[in-house]
Amino acid sequence: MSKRDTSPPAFFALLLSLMMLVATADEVAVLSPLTQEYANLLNPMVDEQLIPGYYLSVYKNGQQVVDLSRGFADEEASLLPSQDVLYFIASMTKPIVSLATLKLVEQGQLNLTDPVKQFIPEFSNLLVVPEGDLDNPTEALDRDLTIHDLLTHTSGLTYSQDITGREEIAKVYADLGLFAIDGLAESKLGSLENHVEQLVQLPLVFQPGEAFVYSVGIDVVARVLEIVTGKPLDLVITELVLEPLAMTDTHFTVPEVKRDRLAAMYSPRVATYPIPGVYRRYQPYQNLPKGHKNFGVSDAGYLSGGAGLMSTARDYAKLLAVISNGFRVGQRQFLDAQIGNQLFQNQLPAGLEDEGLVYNFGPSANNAGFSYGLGIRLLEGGNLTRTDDHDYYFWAGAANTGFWIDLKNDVYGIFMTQHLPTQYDRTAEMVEIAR
Amino acid sequence: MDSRNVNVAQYWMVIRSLLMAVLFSASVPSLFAETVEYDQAKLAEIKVLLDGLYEKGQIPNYAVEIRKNGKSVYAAYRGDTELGGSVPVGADTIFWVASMGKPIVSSAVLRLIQDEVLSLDDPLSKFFPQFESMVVAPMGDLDVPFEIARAPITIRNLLTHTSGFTYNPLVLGLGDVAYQYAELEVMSQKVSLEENLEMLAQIPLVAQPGASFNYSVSVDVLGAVIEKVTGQRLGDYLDEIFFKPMGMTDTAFRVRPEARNRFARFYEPESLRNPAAPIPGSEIEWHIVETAPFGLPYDGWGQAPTFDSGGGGMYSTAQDFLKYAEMVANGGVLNGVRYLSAETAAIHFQDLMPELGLEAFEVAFGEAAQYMKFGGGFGIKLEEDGSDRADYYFWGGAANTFFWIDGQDGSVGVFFTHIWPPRYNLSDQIEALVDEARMIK
Repeated sequence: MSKRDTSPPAFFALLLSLMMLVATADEVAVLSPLTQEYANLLNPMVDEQLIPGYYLSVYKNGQQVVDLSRGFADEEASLLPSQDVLYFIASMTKPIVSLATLKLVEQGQLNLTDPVKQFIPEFSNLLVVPEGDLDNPTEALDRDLTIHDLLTHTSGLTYSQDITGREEIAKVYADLGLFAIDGLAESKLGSLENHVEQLVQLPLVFQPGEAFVYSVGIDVVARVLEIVTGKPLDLVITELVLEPLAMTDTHFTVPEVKRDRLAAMYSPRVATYPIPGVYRRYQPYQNLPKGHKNFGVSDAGYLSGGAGLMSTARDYAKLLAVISNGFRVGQRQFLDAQIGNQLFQNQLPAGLEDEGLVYNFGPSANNAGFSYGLGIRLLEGGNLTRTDDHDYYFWAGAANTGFWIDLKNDVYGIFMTQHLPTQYDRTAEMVEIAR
Repeated sequence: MDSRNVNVAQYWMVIRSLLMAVLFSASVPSLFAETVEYDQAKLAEIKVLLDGLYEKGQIPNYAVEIRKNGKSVYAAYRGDTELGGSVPVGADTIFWVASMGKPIVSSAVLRLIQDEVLSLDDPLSKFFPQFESMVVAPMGDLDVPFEIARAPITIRNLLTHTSGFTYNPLVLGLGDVAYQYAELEVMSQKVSLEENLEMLAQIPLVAQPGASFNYSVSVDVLGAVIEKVTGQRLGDYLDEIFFKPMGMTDTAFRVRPEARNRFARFYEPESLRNPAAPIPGSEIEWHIVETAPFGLPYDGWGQAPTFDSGGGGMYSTAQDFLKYAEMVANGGVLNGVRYLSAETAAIHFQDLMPELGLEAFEVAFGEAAQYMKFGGGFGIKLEEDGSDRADYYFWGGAANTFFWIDGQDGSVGVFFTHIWPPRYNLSDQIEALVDEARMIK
C-alpha cells in the first residue's frame, strides 16, 4: 500500500469540488448594497474557517431584504444553508414558550402572578442557599415563586455549570445532568416531569425577585403548561403558537422526511500544535449519540421548553413578524396586544435597574433589561421603564443562533449557524447595518 | 502484497542512503543569506497587529522579538504578567512553552546521533523492547481489523511524528485509540516515565510506522530514550548540553520558586459560562478571563514534575528561546561556542521523511498540508508558490507561544502570550511581515 500509488490526491479533488460549489453559489447571487454589507461582516467567519457556514435573513417593513448564506450547513452532506434548513435553536425556544404562556393568560387559564406551588406543590417547600454557596446558612423562602419569576429568570433557580450556572449549586445541576444540553439527545433523568421532580430537591441560589440568574425557569414554566392543559409540551406549543403562526418546520424531534434539511452541529477544533495560515477551527460536535449529526433526531431526550426546539429561519421569522406587527397575523389578532406588549416592557424588579443581566452575562450585558423571553438593549443613557429608550430586542441560542427586533425601524433579523458554544456573536453589528 | 512491500523497502533504502550522502557531506554551505536589512516601518506593522488584539482585550499581553546575526532586529513587549498586575511582560517573562520543548529535545537527540550514541534509524525496541511488535488500528479506529506493524518504530519516526503514536482527544488525538490514551492517562504526571511507556506499549498504533504524520507523545518517548542512553534525567541532560552553557537560565521543566513572580498567568476568551469582569485601573475592556489549562490552576503550573515531559512540560522566556533558535540557525554556534556540528544543525531543516506525500499530513494540517514537511523536530513550512523552498521552520506551544527560523535569511523570532486553548496563531502573519520587510543586499 505505497502512498505513491494514490493519485491525484483525494484531498485536492475534494477541495476543488468544494471551491466550485461555493463559486457557483456566489456567482448566482447579485448582492444588493445592504446584503453586501452583511456579507462583509459575516463572510470572514466562513473564509477564516471559524464556522462551516451561516444563514442570515433580514426583514424590513415586513419584506425580506436580506437572504444571505455562505459555506455549508452540513459539510459532509454538502447541505447548503438556507431559510429552510433546520437548526438547533436552543434558548430561542424560550420566546416561543413565553408566548404560549401569554396565550394561556389570554385564555384565562393562568395568571402570571400565580404561585408555582399551585401547579407543582413541591415549590412551597423550597429552601434558599444565598448565592448558591453551600457554606451559606440555608434560608426559608421570603415569598412564593410566581410564573412571572420563572419567565424573567428571577426565581432563584439557576442553570447547570455546563451552561451558564456559576454557583456551587450549579455544579450539582451539572453532576445530576439536570436540564443538561446533551440531555436533549440522551436524558439521564427521563422526562420533563422527572427533571422537575429532581429540581425541587435542590435549593434556590437567591430569594425570588432578588437577582437575574439565567435558569431552567422556562423549563419549569413548560411543565406548568403541561399541567394546566393536560397535554405534553410539544402539543401545547403546537396548538398555542406553532399552528396559529403556520410554523410548520419547528419541532422537538425532526420528522424523518425532513432530515435531509437538517444542519450538522459543530464545535471548536483546538489544534495544540501550530498550523500555518488559515485552518479549520471547527469539527463535528462530539457529544451526541453515535451516528447523530445534530440534536432533534433522538427519541431518548426530554421536551425542553428552555432549549429543545429545532427550527428554520423561515419559520422563526414568522414569530418575529407577529411580535413586530402588533401581535397580528395578517388581519387576525393572534394575541391581545395589551398582553403582548408586555414583551416590550422591562419585567425585571426595580432594584436590578439596567445592570440585571451582568451577573450572568458579564459587563458587556450592562445597559440591558429583560421582558418575557426577550432581552432589551437600552439606548446609551436611556431609562428601561421608557419603551422609547429601548434600542432593540434580542435573544440567542447556545449554538450561535440569534435574532433581533428593531421596532423603531421595523426591522427584524435572524442568524443561523451551528457552533456550540456561541463564540461568534455579531448581533450588535448586524443591528447597525440594517439602519 | 509481499512483493510490493519489498519494493517499498528497497525504495526506502535508496532514499535513505541518498539523504545520508547529502546530510553528512564534508562541508555544509551556509543555509541562509548573511547580510540583510529590514524595512523598520514594515516591521512596525507587527506591533499594530498585536496591539489590535491587546487593545480589544483579547490577549493579556505579548512578547515578540526577532533577531539576526546576534542582534535584535525588532522587539515589542506589552502588558503585564497578569491582568491588573504590576510586573510588565518582557524578555524575561516566563511562559509555559509546552510543545516548544519538542524541538529542544529533538536537538538533544540529534546531538546524541552526532556523538554516535544513537542513530536515526535505531529501532525504539533497541532501548525499550516492549515496543518490538506493535499492532496498528488504522486511523485509531477500534472497529476495523487490526494490522501488524510492518516496520519498527525508529528514532527518525519519533522525531517526525510518524511513529504511529497519537495523543489523547484533548490534544487532537486520533480515533478511538485517543480515548484509550485518555482512559489510561498515558503520559500523565501521575506515574513515572517508565510506567507511562509500559501503558503506551499496550495500546495500538494509529498508523503504520513511517506512513503518516500524527502529532503525538513521540517526543516524550524520545525523552525516555535520552534518559536511557545518558543515564541522566532529561532536564539534567538538557541543562548540561544546552541550557547552562547558553545561559538559558529560565528554561526548564519547572519554574524556580524565586522566578515565579515573572511567570505569566493563563487566560481564555470569555464565554457565557465565564464572563469577563472589568479590571480596576485598566483602560481596556477585557474579553478574557483567567483559566486553568487542563483543569490545573495557575499555582499548580511550574511545580517540579514527576517526570520531565519533553513533549509538553517546558517553561521558557523570549530571551532564552531566542538563544536556542539562534544556535540552531547559526549552524550550531552561539556566541562563538559550538553546541552542534554544522551537519547536525542542518538536520533540523532537512525533510527527514521525503517519501511522504501530501496525504500523510492531511489529517493533522488540513489544507496547510500542501506546504508542510517535517524535519528534525521542526515543522517546515514551504513557500506557497510550489517551489519547495522553505518559508520558515517553526513550532509552537499549546498556550499560544511560537518560534520560527526564517528559511531565507535565518532570522529567528518568538511570539508569546498566554491564551488557552490555542487561538492566536499569529506566527504565520508575523513571519510574513518579516518576509515583506526583508531587503537583501
